[in-house]
Amino acid sequence: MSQTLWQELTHKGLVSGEEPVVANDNSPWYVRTMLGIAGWFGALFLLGAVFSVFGLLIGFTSTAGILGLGACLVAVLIYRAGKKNDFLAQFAFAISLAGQSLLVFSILSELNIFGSGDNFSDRLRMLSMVTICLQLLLFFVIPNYLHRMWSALLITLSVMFLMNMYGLHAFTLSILLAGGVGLWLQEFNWATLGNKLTTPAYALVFISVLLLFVQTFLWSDHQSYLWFDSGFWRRAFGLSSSVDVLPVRLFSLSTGAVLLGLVLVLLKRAGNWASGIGIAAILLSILAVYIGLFVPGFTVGIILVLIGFAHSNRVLSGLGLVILVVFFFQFYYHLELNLLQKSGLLVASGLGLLVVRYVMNYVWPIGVNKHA
Amino acid sequence: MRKTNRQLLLEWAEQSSIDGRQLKDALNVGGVLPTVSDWRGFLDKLLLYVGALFVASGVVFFFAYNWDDLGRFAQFALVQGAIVAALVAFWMLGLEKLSGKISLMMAAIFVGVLLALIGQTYQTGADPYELFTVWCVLILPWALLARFDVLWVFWLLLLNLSISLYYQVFGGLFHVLLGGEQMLWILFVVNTVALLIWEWVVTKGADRRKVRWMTRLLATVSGGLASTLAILNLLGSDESSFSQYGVLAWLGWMALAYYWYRHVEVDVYVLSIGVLSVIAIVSVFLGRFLFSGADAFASLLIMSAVIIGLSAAGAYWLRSVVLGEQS
Repeated sequence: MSQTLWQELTHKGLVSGEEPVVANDNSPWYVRTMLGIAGWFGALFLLGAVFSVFGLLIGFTSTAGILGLGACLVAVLIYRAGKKNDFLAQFAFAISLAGQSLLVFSILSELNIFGSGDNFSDRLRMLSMVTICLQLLLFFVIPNYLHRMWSALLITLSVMFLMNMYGLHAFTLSILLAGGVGLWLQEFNWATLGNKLTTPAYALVFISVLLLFVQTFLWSDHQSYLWFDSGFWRRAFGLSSSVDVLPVRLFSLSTGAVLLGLVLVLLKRAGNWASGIGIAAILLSILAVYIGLFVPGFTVGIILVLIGFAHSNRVLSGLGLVILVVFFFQFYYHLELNLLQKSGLLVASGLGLLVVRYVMNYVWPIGVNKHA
Repeated sequence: MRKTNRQLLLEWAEQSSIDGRQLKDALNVGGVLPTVSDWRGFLDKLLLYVGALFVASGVVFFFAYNWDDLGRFAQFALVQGAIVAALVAFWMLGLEKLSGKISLMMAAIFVGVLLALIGQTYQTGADPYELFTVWCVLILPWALLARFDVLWVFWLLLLNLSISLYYQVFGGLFHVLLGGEQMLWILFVVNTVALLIWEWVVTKGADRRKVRWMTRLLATVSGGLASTLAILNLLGSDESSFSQYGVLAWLGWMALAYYWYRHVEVDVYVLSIGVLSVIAIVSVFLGRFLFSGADAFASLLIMSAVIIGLSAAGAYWLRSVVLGEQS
């Protein structure tokens, strides 16, 4: 297949010369999954071995910190020395995790994180910032996809926590999602970055989805955000505490803004966003934003489906479809209506969608190539 | 594994073999970026499937609301009518079309609804396993007729459920053998036989690429059960039960799977399952000795090294198999 594609590209004048050697480190997903599962078990046992000597290190937290830094450095060296070696990659990942655990143990002890006092939140914030700095460093120096994914996830989780703690809790999800969408939109422009771009892009999307599920299913009150600091606005700006609990609508509107932005960018990419189809797409997006006021997961699902389809990324589009279905049924389930009224609403919604499809078949039949 | 055009183009771009300014054109040549027609088709399918799902759900909710008010005969008429409608749709669409096979599958599902309604209406006192067993038997001719892998998976699921539910009620054969372990053995035999029959059918002419997911699903279930039996054997101390044959069964399964999926019909997925199983069994075997007295630190360290080493060796071997197939 690659021979035909390269020849085709050469024929169209897009490339020249011999076809580049294809790197063979892209194992099938099930081999990588198998490696990941086994690697994690190996790492857990190694961490267990490290933790078993923690008792000896209590009181020597600086020693633990130095050992942790040393372990991380060893991991970096092993990664760089054996880039294509699976054994060394697994071993280095386990060493890195052990080193990071020792570092975290050292920091937790130095900060007296579980001690008494009013500044527990400040200590948590400090821990998050240290985590971000450490993981950023590891992200750039370790040339391994799995480790970069790990670092990106930890960075994103820490950033999410800090945003919630600094009063941005109503906008955290939409800001993270916007960041992820922004990176995915640059996937082809910044292709030379490789997994340095895709790992944070995936991390931002996955953590946004995690936040969406936690906010929706673990907290029945949508105004309860994950680990948010309820007194931040009062302490920082003297604003009343009612400002802290921002309306859910603002959260939905900000996510809607991300959707509208994405649609506009995709239409502009297609080259003719002022056409009839383009205007219809914008109007449909506004409708989607309105629906998102009642079903926040709907907007997030639509965003992921659109960006996934636009970039032929099945992971994103599949995730988006699952979110769409789950959150729509969650919405109907929680409606304070009886089964008869819910059935009527569902049938009406379904028929409405089918009518839209029918109208679209009339206005824009399949097979007719219109500018969008 | 062959890379998709998307993977190749992005890899070439990362290597700077394609100019960044040409990448979008290259993606269009490779058919990676969706065209306007693709978007149109995507929107059409999205509206159709989601709309149909909502309408179907609304109909279900409607009947759920009115169910108690419907008389006994109306309830039976509805369910039986649904079965007849699905069969008529199947007859009209035909066996060769996917929609025809799906219609037959819907009829098979409605048979279960009918059986549940019978049990609920007449309070027969039947155990749940009896419902699933009868359901299995009744839809077997349709499964044979349809030659539809999704329907076969559904049928196997019902069979596995029947066996599991049976052992929830009856703890074992004459209460002599451990119910749970005997259940695992029977499930292992059933699913392994299913895999063997499936492989026999596939070698008779089906396009293996199209049914690969079914092979992999059956191999995963069968291999998982074999591994579980081996682990029970390693951890158990009861020598009077079947548990002592767990490792033998696992070794037999591994030998057969290696021979078939390495030398006859190469399937790297199944080989990966085998590698993961080996890692699990060796770890349990080692752990049994290491953690019964040795120093915790040393034991954990050795376990870690063994797991990491085995997984790396396994990945290296799997990669060599993949490269061998590609060349």
